[in-house]
Amino acid sequence: MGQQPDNADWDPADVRYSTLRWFAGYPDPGFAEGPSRVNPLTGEIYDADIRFDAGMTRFFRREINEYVNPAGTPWMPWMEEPRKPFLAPWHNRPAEFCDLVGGAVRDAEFAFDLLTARGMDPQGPEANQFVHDYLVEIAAHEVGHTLGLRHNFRASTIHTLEQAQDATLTAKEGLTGSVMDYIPTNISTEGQKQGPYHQTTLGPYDYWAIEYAYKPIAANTPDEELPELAKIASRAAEPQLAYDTDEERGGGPFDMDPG
Amino acid sequence: MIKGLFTLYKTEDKVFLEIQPDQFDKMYMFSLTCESGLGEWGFYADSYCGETPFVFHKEGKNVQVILKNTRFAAEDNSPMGRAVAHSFSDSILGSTKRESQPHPERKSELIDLGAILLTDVPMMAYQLNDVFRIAYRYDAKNSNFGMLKAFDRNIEIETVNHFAAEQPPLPPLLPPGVPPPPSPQPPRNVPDIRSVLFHFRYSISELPGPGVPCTFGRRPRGTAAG
Repeated sequence: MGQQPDNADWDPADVRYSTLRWFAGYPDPGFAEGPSRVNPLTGEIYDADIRFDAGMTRFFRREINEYVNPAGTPWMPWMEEPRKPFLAPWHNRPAEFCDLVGGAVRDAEFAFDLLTARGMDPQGPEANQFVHDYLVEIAAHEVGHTLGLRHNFRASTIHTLEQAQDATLTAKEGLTGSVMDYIPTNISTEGQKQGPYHQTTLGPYDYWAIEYAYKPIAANTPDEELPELAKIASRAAEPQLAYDTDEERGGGPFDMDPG
Repeated sequence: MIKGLFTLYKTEDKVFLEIQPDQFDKMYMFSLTCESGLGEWGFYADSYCGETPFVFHKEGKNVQVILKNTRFAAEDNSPMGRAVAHSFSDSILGSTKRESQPHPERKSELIDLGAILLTDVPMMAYQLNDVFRIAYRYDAKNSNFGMLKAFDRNIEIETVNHFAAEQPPLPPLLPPGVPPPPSPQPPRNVPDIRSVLFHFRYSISELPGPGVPCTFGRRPRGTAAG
């Protein structure tokens, strides 16, 4: 991983390169997306370019005024305008929808404003770290999607609220079990112990899922991989690997809390 | 001349693609990045606009770009393959005539790539129309090729595409007091709403198969490991 030089002789749209790209819109679109290209004949992911709206680095400081003075913001485009890319009629992509960033932007803005109200300098190092860690959390989630991971909405249950404020524990195990959850900004009540605001490390679920999907296994045929895969999968009941994905969140019989 | 997986020949206003005899009816991957945008209403730069396997197929004097049906597929010449072939359809993305006699030695064919790619390949006019309710159409006269690159296993093609509209629709005449029906705003971010440009980036790449090193094996879907 490295920075693309200005005079690079390659470009991100070339299928051989997977990149994280920045784009701009006006008003700021306020989203990031982690798509990947899949060969439908094999399931192989052969290209992935994550894209970030450049406005994501500016939102927080600008929104201070807009939240304090909502009358000055009659219109927030990211509430109304579609963010999803248009697809050619012959596209091949599995339809999977991720709405993380629309909510995460507003959630993190609220937290940023609250911290500012508590005395954080919006131009200071703590604020810079806040924005940086927020971008790391979003990038990790989008990279997870490009690698084929699905949402894990149960990952945020592996730690208690007290554990979430224990920076030693979260440095080791992640703020939650997975970057594939929709993780709210972790913010304590004033004067209480404060852990990391954002998840900047992978959680136990992420390591496990990637191990299952990508661990190199010495085998001549896919069938020869099965015993090793079964061994990895046998950890599924471990509490730290708690998992529930989109279908289990929709109010149907597979819901986390049916009825 | 740009040599690679396919060889490209560029003239002042045209790009020709050379297809070798063994490249017909062979599956390649077609990937489109909508490289530029309007900065509004979902038309944002760098977007993956679609990808699909396809074959070049000779049909009489023409070469067709056929999108193989991968939703319903089975081994050719198997009983299941015959059932699939007569139950489901492929699609034709475009076609154009063969530009010359086959090359005397290589027996390869030449096609005018613009006839395939300097068209509204992703149905962008419809997408613009859908969002803005302005009848944009593909303006081939002001569309052209940009960057062209060729490598061993892929070729990279940029097109600059002009979409033009005569005028936005007029709002309906209504009796006094009748509220107007909802109508979308025209694009905010272009100098002239009658003209928008999109850069498309096409990748045509080889798929793993006979003769191509394949390092990919599919693992069974885990119950919880994703």
